Amino acid sequence: MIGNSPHSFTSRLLFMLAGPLIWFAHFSFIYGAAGFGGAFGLDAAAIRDLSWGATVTALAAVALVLWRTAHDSITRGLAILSFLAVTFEALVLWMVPQ
Amino acid sequence: MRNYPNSLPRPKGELAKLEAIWAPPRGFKLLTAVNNTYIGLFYIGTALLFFVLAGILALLMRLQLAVPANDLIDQGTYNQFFTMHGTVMMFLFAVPVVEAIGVLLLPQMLAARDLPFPRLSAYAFWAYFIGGLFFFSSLFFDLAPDGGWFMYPPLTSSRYSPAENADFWLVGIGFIEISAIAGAIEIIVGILRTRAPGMSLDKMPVFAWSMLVFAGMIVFAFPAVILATFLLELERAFHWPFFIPEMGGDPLLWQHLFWFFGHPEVYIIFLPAAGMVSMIVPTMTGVPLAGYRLIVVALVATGFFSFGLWVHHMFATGIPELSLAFFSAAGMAVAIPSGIQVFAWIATFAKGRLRLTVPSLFILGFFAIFVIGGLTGVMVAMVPFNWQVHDSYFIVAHLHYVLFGGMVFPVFAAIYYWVPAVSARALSERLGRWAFALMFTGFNIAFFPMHIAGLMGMPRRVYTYAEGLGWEWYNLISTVGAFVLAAGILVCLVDLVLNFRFAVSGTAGNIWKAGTLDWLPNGMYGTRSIPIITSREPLWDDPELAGDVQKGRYYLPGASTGGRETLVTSPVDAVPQYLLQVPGQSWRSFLAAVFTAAFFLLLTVKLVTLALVCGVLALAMIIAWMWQTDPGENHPPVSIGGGIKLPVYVTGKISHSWWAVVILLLVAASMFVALLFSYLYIWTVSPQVWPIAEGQPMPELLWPIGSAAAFIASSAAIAYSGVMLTKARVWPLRLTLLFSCVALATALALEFHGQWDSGLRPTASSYGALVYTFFTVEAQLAVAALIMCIYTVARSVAGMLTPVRRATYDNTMLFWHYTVGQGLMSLLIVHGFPRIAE
Amino acid sequence: METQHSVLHPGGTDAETIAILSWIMFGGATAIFFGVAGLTLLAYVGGETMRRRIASGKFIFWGGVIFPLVTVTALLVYGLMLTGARVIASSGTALRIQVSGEQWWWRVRYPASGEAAEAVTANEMRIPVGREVEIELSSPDVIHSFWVPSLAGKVDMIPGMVNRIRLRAARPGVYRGQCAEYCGGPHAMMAFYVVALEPAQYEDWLDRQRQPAASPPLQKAGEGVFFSSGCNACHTIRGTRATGMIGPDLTHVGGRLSLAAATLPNTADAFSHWIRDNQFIKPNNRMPPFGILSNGELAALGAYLESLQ
Repeated sequence: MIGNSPHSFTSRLLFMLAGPLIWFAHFSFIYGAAGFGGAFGLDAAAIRDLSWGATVTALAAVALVLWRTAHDSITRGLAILSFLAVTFEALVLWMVPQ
Repeated sequence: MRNYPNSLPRPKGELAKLEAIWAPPRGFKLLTAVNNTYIGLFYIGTALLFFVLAGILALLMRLQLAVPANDLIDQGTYNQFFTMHGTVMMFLFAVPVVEAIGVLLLPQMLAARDLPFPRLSAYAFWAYFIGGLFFFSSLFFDLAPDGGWFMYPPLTSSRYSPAENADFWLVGIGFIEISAIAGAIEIIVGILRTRAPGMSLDKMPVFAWSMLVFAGMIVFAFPAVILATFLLELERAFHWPFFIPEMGGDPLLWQHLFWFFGHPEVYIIFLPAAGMVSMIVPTMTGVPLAGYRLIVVALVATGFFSFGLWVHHMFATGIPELSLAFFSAAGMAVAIPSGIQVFAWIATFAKGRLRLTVPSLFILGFFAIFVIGGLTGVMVAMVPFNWQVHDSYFIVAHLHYVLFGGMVFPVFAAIYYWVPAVSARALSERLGRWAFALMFTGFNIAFFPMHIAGLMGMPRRVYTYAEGLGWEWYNLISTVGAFVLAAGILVCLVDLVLNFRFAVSGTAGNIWKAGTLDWLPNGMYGTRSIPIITSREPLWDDPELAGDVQKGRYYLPGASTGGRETLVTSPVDAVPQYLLQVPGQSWRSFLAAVFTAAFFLLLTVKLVTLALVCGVLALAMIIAWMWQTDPGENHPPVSIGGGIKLPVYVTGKISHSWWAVVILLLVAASMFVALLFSYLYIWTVSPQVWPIAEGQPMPELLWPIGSAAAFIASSAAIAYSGVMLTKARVWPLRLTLLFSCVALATALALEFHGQWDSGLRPTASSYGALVYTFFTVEAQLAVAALIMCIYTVARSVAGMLTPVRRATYDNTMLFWHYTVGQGLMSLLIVHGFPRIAE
Repeated sequence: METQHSVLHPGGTDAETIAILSWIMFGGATAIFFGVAGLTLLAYVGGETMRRRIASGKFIFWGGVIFPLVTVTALLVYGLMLTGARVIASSGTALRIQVSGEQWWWRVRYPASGEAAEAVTANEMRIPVGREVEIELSSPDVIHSFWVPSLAGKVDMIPGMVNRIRLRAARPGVYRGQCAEYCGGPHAMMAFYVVALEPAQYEDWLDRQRQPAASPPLQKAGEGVFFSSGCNACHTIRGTRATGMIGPDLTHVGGRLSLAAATLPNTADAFSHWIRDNQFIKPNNRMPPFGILSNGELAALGAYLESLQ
C-alpha cells in the first residue's frame, strides 16, 4: 500500500512555503541589487527602480498565494508574515534617501 | 468495538524475540551501540560535559575580570579562554545538545523504533566526541585558538596567527560540521518518513516541527561556514589569498560567509528549545497548546527570516546606508514570529492550570530571560544604537540572555521533564528548585550589569581593564553572579548523579500525565506496537492507548523479518508505505569515526603521512559499513496488521536513502551557491585582479568545451548504465559505469590543465584562488562520485546489484548527475563570467 | 583627569541622538517586559473571565502579531529617519583627519593644507568644538574599530578599505576611546583620547603639532641615548634624523595626555618605565624591552622625551 509519492510532497511543500520563498527571492534580489548593482554598472536610481519593481512583484505574488489558499491556515499564516516582511523592506526603500 | 490491527493474544515468544533483537551490546561493546536511546544519551552527556568545561573557562575569565588590572590569568591564556569558551559553547554544546535531545526523543515521539540511519548517528557522535575532546585539550598545550569564536581574518590568517592554534579551530569546527549535517539528514528523514500511521503533519508534536525547521536550517546555513573554514585553511596552509587585501582578497568575505551561517545558527539553537517549551507547557497546564498552527507558522517563519539578518553583525564595517536599512528592517520582521510564540504560551497558561513543578519553573525563567534578550535584540537591530553597543559588553549581555534564556533554561526544563522517561527515578523536586533559584538569580546578577558596563564603554574580549573607568563594580558583581549560577548548575549535576538511573523498561514513567507518544511505555525497541494516531495528544484522548500498545494490538507487534524494523510512512498523511530494516550494533561506524577523527587531527598537527593512512582506513571502514546496506528484497512483504502488507525493500524516489542523498545534495548546492557568492563578491571588491582587467590570458575555450563534453558524456553513460541495469545486461552495465568514471576524471583533468596551462596559479591572487577553489570543490564531489561508482561496479561483480536490488545504483546516479551539473555550472561561471564582465 | 567614555554621557551630536534613542528604547523595553510579565501572572492567577480572554486566539493575534508589528514599525520608522538625517552629505567644511589602527596603537595624521606641513601624532586627537570632523579610518594589519562612545558610534578599520566616521563635539572635554574589534594580543590596552578644544586653542595646538621638534633640544644627553639605542629605527621625531615609521611619531610626545595608547600617564618616569618594562606593562606589544639601558640612560631618555612638547 504505497501512499502519496514524494513528488507531490515536494510540490505541496513548496506551495506551503510559497510566502517565505517569495520573501527570500525578493530579499536576495534587493540586497543583490544594492550590493552588486554598482559593480554591474547600475546607478543608484536604477537600483531603486529595480528594487521597487521587485517589491511590487513580490507583494502581488504573495497576495496571489493568499487568494488561492482560503483553506490552509499554515500557508496563509506564512504568506501574511512574508507580506509584512516584504512591506518592511518597502518602507526602507521609501524612507532612506538616495 | 474498536477495530485493532492485531488481535490478542499475541503469539508466545513474540515479545521475547523483539527484546532479543533489540538488546543492547554489553561491556566495552557498548561502543558499537547505534540505537537512538544510547546514542542520544551519549550525545547529551558529552554536550553537558562541554557545557561544564566551557563554563569553567568562563568562571576563570570572570575571576580575572573581577578587579581591574588583574594578573590572575595572563593575556595569551585569556585570549585562548574566551575563544574556546565561545567556540565550545556554540559548536560543541549548543547545537549538539538540542540535536541530541532530538535523537533521543524523536523516535519515541513519533512511535518509530529508531532513527532511519542509526549507524550514521553513531558515526556523527563518535567523530564529535573524539574530535571535540581533542579540540578542547588544545588548551593544555597552549595550542588553543585565540582569534575569538568567529575568528576574523586577517588576524587569523597565517601572517598574524602563524602558529597552529587557528588550525585547531578550523579542524574542531570540521567535526561539528559533519555531525550537524549527518544529524540534519537523519532528523529530516526521520520526521518526514517514520511517523506513526495517522500522524499527519498537523498532528505532529510541536517539538518535531521545530526539529524539522532546525534540520532544514542546518542544511542551508552550515555550508556557508563549511566553505569559509575551507577557504581560511587553504589560505593558511597553501597561501591561496581569499581574505588578504593586497592580493585582491577581502576580510569582509569571511564575515559575510560566517554570519550567513552565524545568524541562522542562533535560531538553529533556539527553535528546538522553543519546541521543547511547547511540549512542556501543555503538560504542565493540562490543556492542549493554544494556537498550534500559529506556533508552527512562527517556527517556519523564524527559520526563513533568520536567513535575512546576517549583516546586522557587520553594521560597523562601512556598508552603505541602504543595505544597512534592509537588514535592520529584516531584524524587525523576525521579532513578530517570536512574539507569536510568547503570546501563544501565555494563552496556554490561561487556558489551563499551571502546576509549578521544576520544569515549569525553568520555563518561567526562560520566559523572563528570553523576553529581555529579545527586547535588547530589537534595540540592537536599530542601526544607530548598534553602532554604539556592537562589540561591547552590552552585546555580551544580550547574547547570553537570548542563548542562556532561550536555550539553556529550556534544556534544563527538558532534563527535569524527560528524565522520568529514561530513568528509573525522576530527579528531585527539592534539588531542582534550588538549582533553578540559584541559576535564575545567578544568571541575572552575572549578566544584567554587563548591559551597563557596555554602555559605559567596556569593549568585548578584553583580558583586563583600567581603573577609574567606572567599570569595577559591575565586573565584580558579574563575577559573584557567575559563581552563584555555577552553584545552581552544580546542584543540578549532583541531582543527576544522585537520581539518574538509566532504564529502558523500568522507568519512572509518565509522572507528569503528559499526552504525547514519548510517554508510552517503552523498551529498547521503542513501543511494543506502533499505534494509529488520530489527535495531537493521543494519550489524553485515548486513555486505553498505552495499554493497547503494550499488549501488541497495533501495528508491527513483533519483528516480522527477524531483524530490527520500523515503519516508513508517507510524508504528509503518514500512510504506511514500507518496512525499513534498521541496522543494529556495528564496529564499522565506530571505527570509521575514529579514523575520520584521526585523519583530521593528524592533519592539523601536520603529521601528513599518518593522516593519510588514517584517511584510507576511514574510507575502508565506511565502505565496509556501506557494503551491509542495500539488502535487496531479502524477505517477502510482511503483514503489519490490519490487513496491511508492506514490502521490506523499495527503490526510487520513495526510498529513505534517496531522500538522504537529495538532502546531501542540497547541502552541496548551498555550498556551491556560497562559493558563487564569494566569487561575485570578490569581483565587485577587486575587479583589478580579474583576467580581462589584468591582461592575463584566459584558458582557450577548447579546454572548457572539452571538459563540458566529458562531463556530459559521463552523465549520459551513467544514465545508459541504468538502462542496462534494468535489462540485467551485466557487462554493458559495468563497462559503462567504468567509462563514466573515466569521462568524469577526464573532465576534471581537462579543466585543470586548461587553467594551469594559461599560467594562472591559485597563490597569484584572489581570482586565481577562487578559480582553483571551484576546481577543488568539484574535484571533491568527483572523487566521492568515483568511489561510489567503482563501489557500484563491485556490487555488481559480487552479484548484489540486480534490476530489483538497485538502491546503490540509484543513489550513485543521483549524486553523479548533481556532480556533473555543478561541474557544468562551474565551467560556465569560471570561463563565461570574466568574458562577459568587461 | 576627567574623561568621558560612556554612551549615556554624550558629548557629541551623534552620541546625543543615540542616547535619546537609547533612553526611549530602554523605557519601552521595560514597559513591555513588565507588560508581558503582568500578562503571564494574570494568566496564572487571574479570574475566570480574564483568563478566558487571554486564552483566546484573538489575544495571540493582537498580542503576538499586532502589538509587535506596531511597535517594531514605529521603531523602524524612527530608525530610518535617523539614518536619513545622517545621509545628508557632509558640509564640505569638515575637518579631515586620518587615523590608522595598528597593532596596538593609533597613528594620527592631520594632512598638510596649503603651506602648513602635515602634523603626525599618535594615540590622541584634538578637535575643535562645534565643528564637523571627518576621520578617515584604515589599517595596515588586522581589523580594529574606532569607538569614542561619548562622541559617536563605532566604525571598523578594515585592511584594504578606507572607512569614514564623522564626529562633532558639542562641548569641550576629554573623550576616551578604545579599540572595539579584537585585534589579538593586548587589544585590551589599545585606547586613545579625543580632546575637544575651543577653536582658538585647537588652532594653537595644531600649529605647534605641525612644527618639527625644537632644535637644539632641551635635553641633549637624552637625545644622544635616543640615537645610540637605535630608537630612530622605529620612531620619527620630525626635525631630527629620526625617521622610523614602525612605531608612533614622537615629535611632540611630551605634550600628550598619556602614553602607550592611554595605558600610562605622561611623566618622565612613565617613559623610563615603559622603555624598560613595556613587555610587562603591555605584553606582546611590538616594542622590544630595553633592559640593557642603565638607570641613568633611562632617566635621560625619559627627560628628553618629556621635553618634546
